[in-house]
Amino acid sequence: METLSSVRRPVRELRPGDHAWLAYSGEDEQRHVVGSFVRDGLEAAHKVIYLAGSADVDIPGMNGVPSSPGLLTVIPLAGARRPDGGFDPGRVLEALAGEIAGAEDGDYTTIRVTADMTWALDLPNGLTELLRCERHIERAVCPSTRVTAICQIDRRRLSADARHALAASHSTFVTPNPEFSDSVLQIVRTFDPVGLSLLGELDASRHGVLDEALNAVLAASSGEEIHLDLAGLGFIDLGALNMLADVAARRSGAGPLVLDSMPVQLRTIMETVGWHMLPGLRLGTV
Amino acid sequence: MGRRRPTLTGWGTVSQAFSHRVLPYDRADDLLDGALPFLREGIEGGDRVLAVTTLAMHMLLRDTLGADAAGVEFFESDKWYAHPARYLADTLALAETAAWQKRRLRVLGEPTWARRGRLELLEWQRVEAITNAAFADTGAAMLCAYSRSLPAGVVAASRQTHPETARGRTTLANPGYQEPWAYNARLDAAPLPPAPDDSLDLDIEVADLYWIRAYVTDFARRTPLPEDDLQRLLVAVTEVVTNALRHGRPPITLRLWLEPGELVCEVTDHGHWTERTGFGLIPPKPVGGAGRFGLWAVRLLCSIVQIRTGRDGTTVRLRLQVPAVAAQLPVNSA
Repeated sequence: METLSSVRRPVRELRPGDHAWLAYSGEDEQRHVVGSFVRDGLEAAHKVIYLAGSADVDIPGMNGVPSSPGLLTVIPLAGARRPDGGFDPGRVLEALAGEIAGAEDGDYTTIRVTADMTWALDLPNGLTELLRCERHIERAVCPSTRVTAICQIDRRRLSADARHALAASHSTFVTPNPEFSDSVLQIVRTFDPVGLSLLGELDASRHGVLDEALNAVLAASSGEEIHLDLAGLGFIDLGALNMLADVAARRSGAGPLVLDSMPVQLRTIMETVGWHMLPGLRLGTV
Repeated sequence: MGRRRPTLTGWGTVSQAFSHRVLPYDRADDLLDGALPFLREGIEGGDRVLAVTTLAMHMLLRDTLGADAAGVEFFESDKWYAHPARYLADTLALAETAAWQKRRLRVLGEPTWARRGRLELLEWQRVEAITNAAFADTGAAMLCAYSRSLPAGVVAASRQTHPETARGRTTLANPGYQEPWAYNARLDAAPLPPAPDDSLDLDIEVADLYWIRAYVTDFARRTPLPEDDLQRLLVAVTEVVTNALRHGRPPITLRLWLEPGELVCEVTDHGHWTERTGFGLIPPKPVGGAGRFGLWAVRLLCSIVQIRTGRDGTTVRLRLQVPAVAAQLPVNSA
């Protein structure tokens, strides 16, 4: 839905010159994606510029460990507050542009910029203001050979029109890094609904990575339904189905394991083998 | 058709003992003499009563039963006995559901024997034998009608796979009855004919199963195997190769060939299954989460599964029916 004109790209594949946007469904997704961006940047000694609500915000990806001095700069949004309590987008952008320019004078190979821009939607004519800010950022990032930016927006605040407009103004839509990826299988976390998206083929050669990804999503969930998006799954073996049923059985009492968008060839197998063999699994959206 | 089996937390107990009787008949009257008391007893006793026969026999039974026919569910043999493992799964589910409801499943069945190939006949005879083990705890009553016009071997085998013969209202023990696993072992004592010389062979050394499926798909796409059966074959062969890689001994070889009306996919390794290894002949009970159901599922997915294991190694042969259209590959008549 966000892909109308943006290219989807995992956060680790963003390159200098990319001005990506993230329409997060909640704090979990925001911290997961932005956390990867910040953590990878600090580990590679990139400059990271983070526009946050206040200076002492809990930056995702830090895991409580302070970064090397100078690598991370937090621009507190609170500093751009007008006397009437609202934000002055001009001052926010000015501060951001100043930090980017300062970093470009340094010898960083890459400058990572990320900002939660949801606040702009609170301004009068919020969407117009947001798009105006985005154009400013675009002008700072695009011609650069060193700057990569992610603009974060709370998806729950966006109308369909706003999503269209944002997709049209960003070349890239950033997605979480896959939990696992090789030439045969890709496993990606999903956040709305909570679960995993499986692409490719799944058999005993990759049961271990499925197990890891399932455990990670279970650890992060709080008893709600877990959804597996199977739209891109061309094959699943009996052992993997067994693993899913085992997870469902272990979760008895919590929400079920729901299999969404099951391709017709997988459904043929399930019906031949019998759903009763796999108690706790439920077919979700077709 | 989906496999349905109730997920039960406890198994119902049925006071009646399981029975599995053969009813040989020459004429329709012989069949009615044995079938009517069997059906009426069930109707009066509140059983779930099924008559799985030909359409002509449905008519005859309805006419003779009169108003009592309302207490009988009629099904056609050709559809009911379409696939050995799926038949076993579905009928066992009915028996277990009935037992759970403190009822008894009572089936007058007339298995389809005509038009079956030699291997199919053996599989259905195996099902008749396994029925004695699979249904033992369900209390089901099963009466199997066998026409004496069937090939002599079919009727003779029925006396080895049914503990008793029904004649009218009387029941006689079959002296030739064989314990189900002994009968099964005897069927599997005959060696398999060797794979044809021109089979397509793949030595499985790479552990990535993805390439094995690509190989099988390439072969199957040049045959008339329908797409949904190809998917079933891919799941089955992945399971069998996974088992061989985990529990067998190298070298592991995959062979593919066509026989008249069948695609055959064989996996051999040099390991030897222990006595304890199940052959997946009885559906596992889905109680308390998922159990190991691999080989049983493989039987549901393929038309016929043949297993031979011994000191010389293990062979699992998967057979899938292919529609009768001109094949583009050489057809072997093994």
